[in-house]
Amino acid sequence: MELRELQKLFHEAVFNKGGEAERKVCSLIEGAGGLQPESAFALYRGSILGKFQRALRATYPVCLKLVGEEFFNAAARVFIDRYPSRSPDLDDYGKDLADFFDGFKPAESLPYLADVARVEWTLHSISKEGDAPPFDMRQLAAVRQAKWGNLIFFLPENRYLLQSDYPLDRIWRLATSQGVEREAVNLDEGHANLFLWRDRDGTRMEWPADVEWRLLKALDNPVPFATICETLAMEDPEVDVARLFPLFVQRGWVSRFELEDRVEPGKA
Amino acid sequence: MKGKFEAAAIRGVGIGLRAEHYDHIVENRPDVPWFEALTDNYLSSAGRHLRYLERIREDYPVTLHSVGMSLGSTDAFNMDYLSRIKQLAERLQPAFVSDHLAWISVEGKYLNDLMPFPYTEETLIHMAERIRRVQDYFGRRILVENPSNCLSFRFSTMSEAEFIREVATQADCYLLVDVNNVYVSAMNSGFNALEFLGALPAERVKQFHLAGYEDRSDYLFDTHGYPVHDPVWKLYETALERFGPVPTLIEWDTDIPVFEVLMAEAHKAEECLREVE
Repeated sequence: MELRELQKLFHEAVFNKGGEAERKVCSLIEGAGGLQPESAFALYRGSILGKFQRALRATYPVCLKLVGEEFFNAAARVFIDRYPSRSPDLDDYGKDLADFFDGFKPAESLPYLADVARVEWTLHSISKEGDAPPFDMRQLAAVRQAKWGNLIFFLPENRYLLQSDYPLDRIWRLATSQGVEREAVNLDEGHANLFLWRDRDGTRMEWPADVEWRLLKALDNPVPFATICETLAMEDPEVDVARLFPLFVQRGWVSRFELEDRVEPGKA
Repeated sequence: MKGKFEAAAIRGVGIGLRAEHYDHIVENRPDVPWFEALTDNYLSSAGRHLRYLERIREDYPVTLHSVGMSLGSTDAFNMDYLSRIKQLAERLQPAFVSDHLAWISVEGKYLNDLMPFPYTEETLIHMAERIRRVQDYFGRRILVENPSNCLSFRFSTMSEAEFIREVATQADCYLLVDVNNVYVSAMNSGFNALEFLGALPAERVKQFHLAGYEDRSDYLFDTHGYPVHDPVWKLYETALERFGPVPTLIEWDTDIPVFEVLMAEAHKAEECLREVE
C-alpha cells in the first residue's frame, strides 16, 4: 500500500471506530507486546482524541462549568468528529466551537452558550498576542490644543468587542465565581457588552455600560476625534464624550493616537 | 529578522522548559547548562510564553523542539508553520532545531499526535527528501527524533534502526536519540535495544532525551510523566559509552513536578555523563 493511502486510511480509522478503515489498518499492523492490533490501534486513537478533548477543556473552562462534565465531553466528541484539526499547533484547535454550539440541538436550552464560547476563544487567542503599551500622556501634552480635533485615537491593538443578546456578564460571573452557583439568571434581563484587550498585566475583561459601548464602537474606527464628537453630539447626545473619554484613557481602553494626516489609508 | 542572541554550543544536561517553571527560572537562575523549548508554544509573534522564553534565553542557551513538521506526511509542507519556526530560530539562535520521525497530517487534516509509519524504501526516500527540504529552507541541519511505538507494520522491509540510519545518511541530518523511546519501543516490539543503538551512525547523534514511561503491564507507554526508570538509566550509560558525552535533556510533559525534581534527574544524568568525559 502506498504511504498516502495508508495515511488516509489511518486518519479515517481514527474517526470511525469499528469501521472498514479500522479493519483494514488492523490487518496491516502488529500490536506491541502482547497487544492485539485492535488494541494497539486503540491506543493511538485514544491518545489523539484525548489530546483534542483536553485542548477543548483547557480553552473552554467556562463552557465546561456551565454544561457539566458529561454534557461537555459528549458535545466535544461530536465536535471532534465534525471539525478536523487544521493546524499543526494543537493550541489552534477548537476555534469553531461557538458556531458548533449555535447549531447543536442538545444545547438549544442554553442559547447563550455559543457567545460564552466566543468569549473563551477570544481570551485564548489574544493571550498569545502583543500587549498594548500604556497611553503616552506626555506625547499628547506636546500636541498643540488646536490640533486635538485632528487626532485619531486607537483602542488597544489586540481588542475584541462583543455584544450578546443575553446577560453574558451575569452568566460569566456566576460561572467563574465560587459559592453563588445557585443564583438564577433570567435570560430576559437584557443584553451585555464585552470589551477584551491586552495590557502589560495580561488580558483584561470589561463589561461597558451602553453609553460606554457606543463610544468604544465609535473609537473602533480611525476617525478624527472631532468627527466622533460632532457625530455623537448630533446623533447620540446621551454619550457624554467629555466625561467618558478621560475615563477610557485612565482605564487603558485607549492606547495611542496619531495626527489625522499621518494615518495611512485603511490602516487602523 | 536577526535577533540579539548568538548561537552557542550546548553541553551537559539540559531541562525541558515548561511554563510551570518560568518564574522559578527567571527569579533563581538555576545552575542548568541549557533549556529545550517546545517550539510550538512560542510560534506567536508575542504573548507571555515568548516573553518568558526570550528572557530565559538571555541567561541560557536553548534548543527548539517541535512536533508539527510532519516530516513523514504526504501532504505539502505547512509553510506558515515552518516559516514561524525559521523566524523563531533566527531570533533565538538555538543550538539545535529538532522534530520527530513521524507524520501528523493527511489531506490537510491534523491528528496532532506522532503517527507511526512503515519502514520501507518508499517511506525512506520520501522522508529523507522532506528532511532535506526543511534543512534547505532553514539553512541549517535539523535533528530528528525516534518516537516510541506501540505498533509495527507487517510490510516493513527494514528495522527501525536501519531506517533511522539510512534516513539520517540520505537526508544528511543529525539524530536526537530518545533513550526512553528506544527502551519503550524495544520492550513493546521485541527488538534488542543495544543492537538498535549499535546500528545508529555515531557521528550524527547530537542529543539524547531522557524521560519516564508508564508500565501498563501488557506494554510500556511513553507518557513523559515519571522519573527515568532504572533500565533506561542503564541503556543511557550504554549510549554514552557508544556515542560519547552527548548533550542530554530531561523531559517531563505530564504531571509536571517542582523544578527541584527535574534538577535531581539532571544531576543523575550529569554523573553518568562525567563517567565518559
